[in-house]
Amino acid sequence: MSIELLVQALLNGFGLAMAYVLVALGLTLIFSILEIINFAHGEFYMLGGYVTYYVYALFGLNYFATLVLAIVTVGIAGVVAERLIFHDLRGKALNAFIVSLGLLWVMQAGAQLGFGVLDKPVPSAFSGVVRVFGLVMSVERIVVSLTAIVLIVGLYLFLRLSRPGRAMRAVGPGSGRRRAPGRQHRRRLRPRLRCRLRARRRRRRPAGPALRGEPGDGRAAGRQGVHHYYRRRHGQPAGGRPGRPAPGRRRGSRRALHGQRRRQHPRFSHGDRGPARAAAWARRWSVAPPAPAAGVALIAVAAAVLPLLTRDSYYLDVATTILMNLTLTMSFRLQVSTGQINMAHISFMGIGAYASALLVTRVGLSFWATLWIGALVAALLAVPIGSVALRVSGPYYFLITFAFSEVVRLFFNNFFEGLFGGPSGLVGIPKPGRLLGLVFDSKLALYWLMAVISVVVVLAFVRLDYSRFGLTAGAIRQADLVAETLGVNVFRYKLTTFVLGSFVAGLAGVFFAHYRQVLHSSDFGLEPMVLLVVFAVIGGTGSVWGPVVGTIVMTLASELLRELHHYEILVFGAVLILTMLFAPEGLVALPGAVRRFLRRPRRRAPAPTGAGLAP
Amino acid sequence: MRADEINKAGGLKVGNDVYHIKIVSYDHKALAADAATAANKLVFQDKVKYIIGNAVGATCNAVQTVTEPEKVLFSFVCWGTANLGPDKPYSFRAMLSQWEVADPFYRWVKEKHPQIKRVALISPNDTSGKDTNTAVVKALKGLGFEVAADEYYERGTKDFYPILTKLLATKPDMLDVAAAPAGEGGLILKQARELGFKGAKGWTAGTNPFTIIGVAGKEAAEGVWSPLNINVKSDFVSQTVRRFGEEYEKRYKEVPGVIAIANYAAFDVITKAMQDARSLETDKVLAALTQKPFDTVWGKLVLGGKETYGIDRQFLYPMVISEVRDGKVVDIAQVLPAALKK
Repeated sequence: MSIELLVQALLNGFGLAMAYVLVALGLTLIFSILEIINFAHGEFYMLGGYVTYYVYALFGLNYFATLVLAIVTVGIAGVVAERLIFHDLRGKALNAFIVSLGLLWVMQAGAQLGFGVLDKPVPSAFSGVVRVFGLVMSVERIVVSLTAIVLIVGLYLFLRLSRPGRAMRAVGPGSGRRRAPGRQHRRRLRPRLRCRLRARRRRRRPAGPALRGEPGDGRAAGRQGVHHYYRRRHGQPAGGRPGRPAPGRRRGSRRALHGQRRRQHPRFSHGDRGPARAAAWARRWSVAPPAPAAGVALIAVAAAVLPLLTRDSYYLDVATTILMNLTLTMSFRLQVSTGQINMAHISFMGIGAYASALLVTRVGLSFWATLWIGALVAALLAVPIGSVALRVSGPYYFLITFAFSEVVRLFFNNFFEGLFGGPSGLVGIPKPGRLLGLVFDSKLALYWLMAVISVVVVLAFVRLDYSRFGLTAGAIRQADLVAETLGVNVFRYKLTTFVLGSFVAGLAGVFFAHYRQVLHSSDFGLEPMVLLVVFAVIGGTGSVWGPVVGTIVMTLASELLRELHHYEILVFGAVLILTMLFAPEGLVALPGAVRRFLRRPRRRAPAPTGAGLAP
Repeated sequence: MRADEINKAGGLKVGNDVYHIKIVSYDHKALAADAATAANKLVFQDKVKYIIGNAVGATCNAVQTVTEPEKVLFSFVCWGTANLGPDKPYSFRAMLSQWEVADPFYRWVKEKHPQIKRVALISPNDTSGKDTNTAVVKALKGLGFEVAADEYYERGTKDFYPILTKLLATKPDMLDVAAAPAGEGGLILKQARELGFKGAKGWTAGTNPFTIIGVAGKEAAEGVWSPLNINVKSDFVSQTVRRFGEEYEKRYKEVPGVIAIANYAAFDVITKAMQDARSLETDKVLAALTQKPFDTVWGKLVLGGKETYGIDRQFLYPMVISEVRDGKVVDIAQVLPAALKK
C-alpha cells in the first residue's frame, strides 16, 4: 500500500468516524444520563432522514431550514418517547432496554407503513470534492466532520458549564442521586416502605433487625428483595414462623444461602403449612412439589394429546415450532433467573445447529450422537464467553453478549463459506433417521421427538427452579450484592446458568438444523433473539411458567398475525412495550395482579407487585 | 395484478371449469426458518399448489424443503445455482439471473467498447452478491478481461469511501456495481465519482435504474449500462408491455421494476400452462410449461438452462441492455438467449 493510499484511508476513516460520532453522541448522552441502552436510537436517526426527504427533497425547502425542522421533529419524538415510555423505567435498565427493542420494531414497521419500503433519493446539499496533495475528501464529509467536532465541544461545555448541563450530570449514574433527598427519591422509596409496613402488620409483631436499614442502604434494599422474592414464590413472608426471633432468622438465612441446614430453615422450606407439605413431598420423592409437577404433567398431556386431535402437517409444524421455542425460551429464562439478559443466547443455538449439521454431513456421524455433541460444543464455548462477559453486569453485559452474537453471525456468514454455506446458507441437512427401529423423518415423528425433549427440559428446569440452586439464583437476581455478602459465589452461579442455558440452546439448535434442513446465519441474528426476549418477557421471567405461557401465546399470535406481513412486528413491538410498562411481571402474574386489585384496601394505594424483571 | 385481470375477465377457464383466482400471501421477514413455516402454512393450511415470488436466496432453500416433497410448483426470483437442479423439478426461476446475463453482457461490452480491459466488481455480501460476482468473474475471464477487483460490502453500508479507495487504486477501466441494490448502487457510483473515477459503469444485476439515478444524481449515474432491467417505455418493447407499464404505474404509483414484471410473467405463464394442460395438477402443468414458448410481457419466453443447472427450469427471454443518458434510461441493444434463437 502506497503512502498516499494509506493517508487517504486514514482520512476516510476519520470522515467515517465523525459521521458515527454524530449518531453516537445522542446515544451516549442518553446512556450516561438515563442509563438506558436505547436500541431504537437508529430509528430516531431514520426519522430525521425521512423529514429531510419529504421537506427538502420533495418540497424543496431550504436545507438549513430542513435541518432545524428535522431537529425539532426528532426532539419532539424523543420527548414523547421519554414521557410515554421511558420515564417510568428510570433506574430499571433491563426493562428500559427491552422496551427500546419493542420501540425499534414499532418505529421500523411504522416507517414502512407510513413511508413505504422503496429507497428515497435525497440530493446532496453539499456537492463537490476538495483535493489537497492528491488526497480527496467530499465537501459533504468535511461539513459532517466539522459539525461533529463542534457538537462534541459544544456538548462538553454544555454539560460542564451550563446549569441544565450540571443538573443533567447530577442525576446521572454515580452521582449519588439515590442518597440525595428530594421528591424523586421519596417516590422511589415509597413502595419499599409500604411493603415493610404491610409485612410487619401481617406478622403482628415488631420488625426484626433483618429488615432494618437506612432507606437507600443497598444491603437493606437487597434483603428486601430477597424477602419479596420468597414471599412471592411461596406465599409467605420471608420472616419465617411467627414468633421466631429475628436474629435467628437472619443467622438462618446465611446458613441457608451457604447450603447448610437449608431444610431446617423456614425461609427455604416452602412455608409453614401447605407449602411446607409440598416441600416435604418434594424432598421425599425428589421431584418438584405437586403444583409444579402438575404443570409439567399438563404440558406432557397436552403434547401427547395433540397428535390424537389432528395429524394436519401445518398444525404439527406449529406445535413443533412452539416446543422448539419453548425449549429455547426456558434455557434463556434460566439465565434471566440470575438477572442476566444474554443477547447471544440464540448464537449458542446456532453453534449447536451448525456443529451437528457439519458432523452429520461431513463426518458422517449419526444425529443421535450429534444431538449431544452439538449441545456440548455450545456449552464448552459458553465457558470462556461467559467467563469474560459475566465479569461485568447490566448494560455492559448486554453489549458484550450482543457483540458476541454479531461475531458468531458474521462468522457463519462470511468465513469458511465452503463449510458453513456462507450467505447462501447450509443446505442438504438430513433428518434424524432411525433409532431403535423407529424412523424419525415424518412431521409426526419429529413432533414426538421434540415433545419428549421439551417435556424433559421443562421438567428439569422446573425442578431446578424449586431447588436450592433455583432459589439462590432468584436471590442473586433480586440482590446479588447481598447474596455475595452472605457467601454465595455469585459468579459461579451465573456462569453455571450461562453454560447450562447454552447447552440446552445447543440442543434446540441441533433439532432445529435437522428439522428445517436448512441453516442460515440470519436465523441466529438480532431479530430472532429479540423474539426470544419477547417470549420470555410477555410470559414473565419471574416465574418458571412465564416462558411456557409467553412462548405458546406469542408463537400462536405470530402465526395468526402472519397475514399482516411485516406489520406483525409492529404488533409485537407494541405488545412488548405495553407489557413492560403495565405488566412487567408478564402474563403469568396477571391473575395475581387482578386478585390483588380486587382485594385492595379502600383508600390505600395498591400493593407493590414484587420483583419482575426490574432489580 | 394479473390475477385481477383474469378475474375481471370472468375467471380462469381450465378445461370445462372456470376458476376465480385467490391470492394468499405471507411475509417471512427474509428469515429461512420463518420462510419454511410460511411455506408450511401455504401448503398444508391454505392448500396452495402454486407459490410465486420469493426473493431472498437462503429462504428459497427453506421453502423448497416444503414444496418439493409436496409437488408444489414454486416460481421464485432468488439468485443462486443451488436453487435449481434435477433434484428440484418443481422449482423454477422466473427472471434471468446473472448466469444468463453476465456472458452476453460482457460480450457486448467487448464488442462495442474494446478499450475496456480491466473491470472492478463490488456487490453485497450475501447470496445474490456472491453468486453475481462469481458469474461475472467467470464470464470476464472467459472473454479475456482482467478482474481488477472483486469486493463485497455488508448490506446497509452507506459509506463506501474506504472500500472504493482500495478498489479504485487498482485503476479499473470499468466499475460494475454488480448485485448492489439501487440505493446502495447509487451511493457507490456517487462516491466513486467524488473519488475521481471517470471510467465506464455497469450494473450487471441491476433491477431499477430510475432509483439509481435518483440516488447517485444525473452526473454520477451517466452512462451506467444495465442488462437485466426492462424499460417499459422503450422502443424495444411491444405495445402489450407498454400497456402493462401504464396500468402498473396507474395502480401502484411507480414504474414496474424487473421483479414485479417477472412475477407478473410467471403468473401469466402458469395460468396459460394450466389451460394448455386442461388441469390444475402440478405434474401436468409442469409438462405443459416445458413444451413450448409463451408470449409474455417479456416477449417470447421459454424454459431453459439445462447446461447451467442440469434441468430446464430457467425463464429465458430477450435481454435488453439499457444506458443512462442525461438522467433517462435508454435501451440501446437487445440480445436473444441461445435457446430462443433456436
